[in-house]
Amino acid sequence: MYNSLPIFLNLVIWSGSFLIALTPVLVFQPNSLLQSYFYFAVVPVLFILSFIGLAGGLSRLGRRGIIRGTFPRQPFHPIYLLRRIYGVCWTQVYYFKPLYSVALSIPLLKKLLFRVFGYKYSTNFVVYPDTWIRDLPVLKIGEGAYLSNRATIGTNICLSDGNILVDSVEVEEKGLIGHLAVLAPGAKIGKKAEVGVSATIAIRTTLKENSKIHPCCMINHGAVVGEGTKIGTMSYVGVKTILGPHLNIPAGANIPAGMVLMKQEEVNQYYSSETQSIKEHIAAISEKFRGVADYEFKA
Amino acid sequence: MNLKHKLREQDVHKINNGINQGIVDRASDALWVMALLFSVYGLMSTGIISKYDSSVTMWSNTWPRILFNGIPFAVLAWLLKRQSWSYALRISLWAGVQPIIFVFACCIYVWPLMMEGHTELYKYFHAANMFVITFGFIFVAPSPHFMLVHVASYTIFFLVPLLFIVQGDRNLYLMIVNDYLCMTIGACFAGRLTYRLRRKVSLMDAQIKSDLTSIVGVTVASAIYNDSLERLNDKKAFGLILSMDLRGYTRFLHSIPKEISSSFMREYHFMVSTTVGKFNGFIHKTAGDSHLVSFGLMDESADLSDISELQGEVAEAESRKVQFLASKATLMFEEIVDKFEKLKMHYDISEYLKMGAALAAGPIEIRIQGNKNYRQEVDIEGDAIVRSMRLESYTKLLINRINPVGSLLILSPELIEDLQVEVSFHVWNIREGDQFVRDYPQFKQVYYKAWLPMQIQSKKLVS
Repeated sequence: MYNSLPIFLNLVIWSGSFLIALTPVLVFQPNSLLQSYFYFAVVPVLFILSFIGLAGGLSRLGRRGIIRGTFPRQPFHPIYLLRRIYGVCWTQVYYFKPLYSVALSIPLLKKLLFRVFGYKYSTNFVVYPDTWIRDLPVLKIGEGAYLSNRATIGTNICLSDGNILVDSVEVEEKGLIGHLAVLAPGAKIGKKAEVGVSATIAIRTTLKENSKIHPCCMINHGAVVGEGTKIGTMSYVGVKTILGPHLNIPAGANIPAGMVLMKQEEVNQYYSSETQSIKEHIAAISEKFRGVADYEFKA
Repeated sequence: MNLKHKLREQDVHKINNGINQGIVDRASDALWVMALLFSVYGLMSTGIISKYDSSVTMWSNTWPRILFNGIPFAVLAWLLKRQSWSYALRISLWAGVQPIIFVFACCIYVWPLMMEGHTELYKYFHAANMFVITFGFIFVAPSPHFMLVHVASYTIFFLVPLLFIVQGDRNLYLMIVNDYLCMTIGACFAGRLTYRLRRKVSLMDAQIKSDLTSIVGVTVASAIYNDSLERLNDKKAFGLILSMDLRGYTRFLHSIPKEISSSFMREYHFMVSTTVGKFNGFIHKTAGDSHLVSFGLMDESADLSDISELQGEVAEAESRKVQFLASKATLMFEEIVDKFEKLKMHYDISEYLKMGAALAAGPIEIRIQGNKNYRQEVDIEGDAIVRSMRLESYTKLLINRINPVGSLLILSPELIEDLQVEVSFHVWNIREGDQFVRDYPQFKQVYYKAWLPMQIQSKKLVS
């Protein structure tokens, strides 16, 4: 039964859509060539609408399972089963790229698609066909937000203990998610906040209003980045680190887990001590190698 | 009361943006309504116009109104929603262009017929015109200078040509001037009142939030304002608790005139509050001379306790956080003691008044206690709080034994490993027969740091 579920759902979605789409051609007898053209032209329109309608309609059976929490990945677990139903329906639309891209390019169709899959907020934001999204009922994207292509808005994550973690992802008004950026479950991106190219925002991390994460940064689980704070390229912010408002974290910074940096002086002091320790390491290593070189030279 | 000057510049900027957004939204809504009304007006006005021009049909009176009024109004409404344009540009666009589109409606049959001598035709449209003009002022209620732009635009594009057309009909001329002046002045006045009221409400809202923040702190104030107080309830977090008290306070109250002691305590509380704020602590309770301060507890932090895989990383983070916060809290107490000694010197208070404090760490729960209809309080619970208070009481004994003239800070044993403070802190061994820390007889050692009063420090330096 478990394995037959996707077969059944796919059969209904695909066969149903084809049948509905072909209805004008099969049922009505064209009286002229123009009428024939018209019936054939209607087929793709009907197919798109019926495909979205059927997939969205069937996804409603599993809507109750799209909730926040940690659930075991067992086929007959009540929540996981519902998630599977929803997931099969959504992925049929998501991976059907020509149809999905057409739906995203027409505002009314985009609204219809998102609504039937349980999205509750404004659809006035930019999303590309290859931006990974799912679990629309726990997703909140603000007006004017921009989700770049190949960005991952990950509302769920599989854990190695056999569970799946599902949490909401919020991107507020005019938030910007860069190309290849990854948002993990529970991520909150504030108004006009920016996540740079290839940056990773881990589980339950909060970026406040106007904060800016430069490319290739890693903001680890539970971190909080204050309002207007800028984090330089390729920086690392550790688990549950709290960064205050309006800070400038230099590029390549390594802020370890649990730090609480609220003022720029604290950042400067900490960062200089980090670089200081690196300098000391370099000095120690070069000292070691100097010894080796001297020994070899003498030998 | 000038609220604007009591707020920070960036708060005022945010408020202004919010007000301008409201003006743009209302202007856009008004334009959509006008687009609809002007499009269907052709259906209703055909009968009147056809009395003066029999060639007018329903179709000939409707399509120009859709093309020159309905569509332009809709386009303007859509343009106002363009967020990439500044508020000033969008409001100016509304104030300047809306009267021009309105005049297009007048030019469809009505003004041409009036120019042919049928000036009385205007009487059928006068009330509707005045209503549309006043509706814009009152509903949109822009700021005074945009209101002036709107008045100027109506006067130039509507009133002046209209008066030119009806100049032969003296009564109609006077009626238009009279009504236009009365309605415009009245509408401007009402619109300005609405604008000022909206602005005042926004400023008051920000001011209340600012005042509330200064009393209950950023976290609680934001929770109240975002209607998310429930989120604070039952929140568990790892934090530090510092209990502080004045030793010799009762003696101080009895030996100093009330005015001086009140003034001293006011300054003392101000100084403690400022210093705690500087080090990002949070004062939970004050009672007379004592303070209960937390670190890291009211910070916004994610709860990762349900993800078993992360527990190792989270524990490491908590440990570093405690280490960091404990150093911060120690530094803060040091600064408070320093300022306290200066305050004592300023008031010429002798050496017997000193400070005793204790620092403990652990998991703490935040709860909202009390009756919602009477008074609720953000309360904290946890063993760390009890431990910190018992150790703070123990400073009484230690001050008498070790440092009878100075202030003293005790560290709870769980902080010793994290802080690695053996060097800067001293150890007090609790021996058989000594008084134990109340409720914690298992504590055989207590780590403390003592500060001497300034007078003694300076005497030592001189000697």
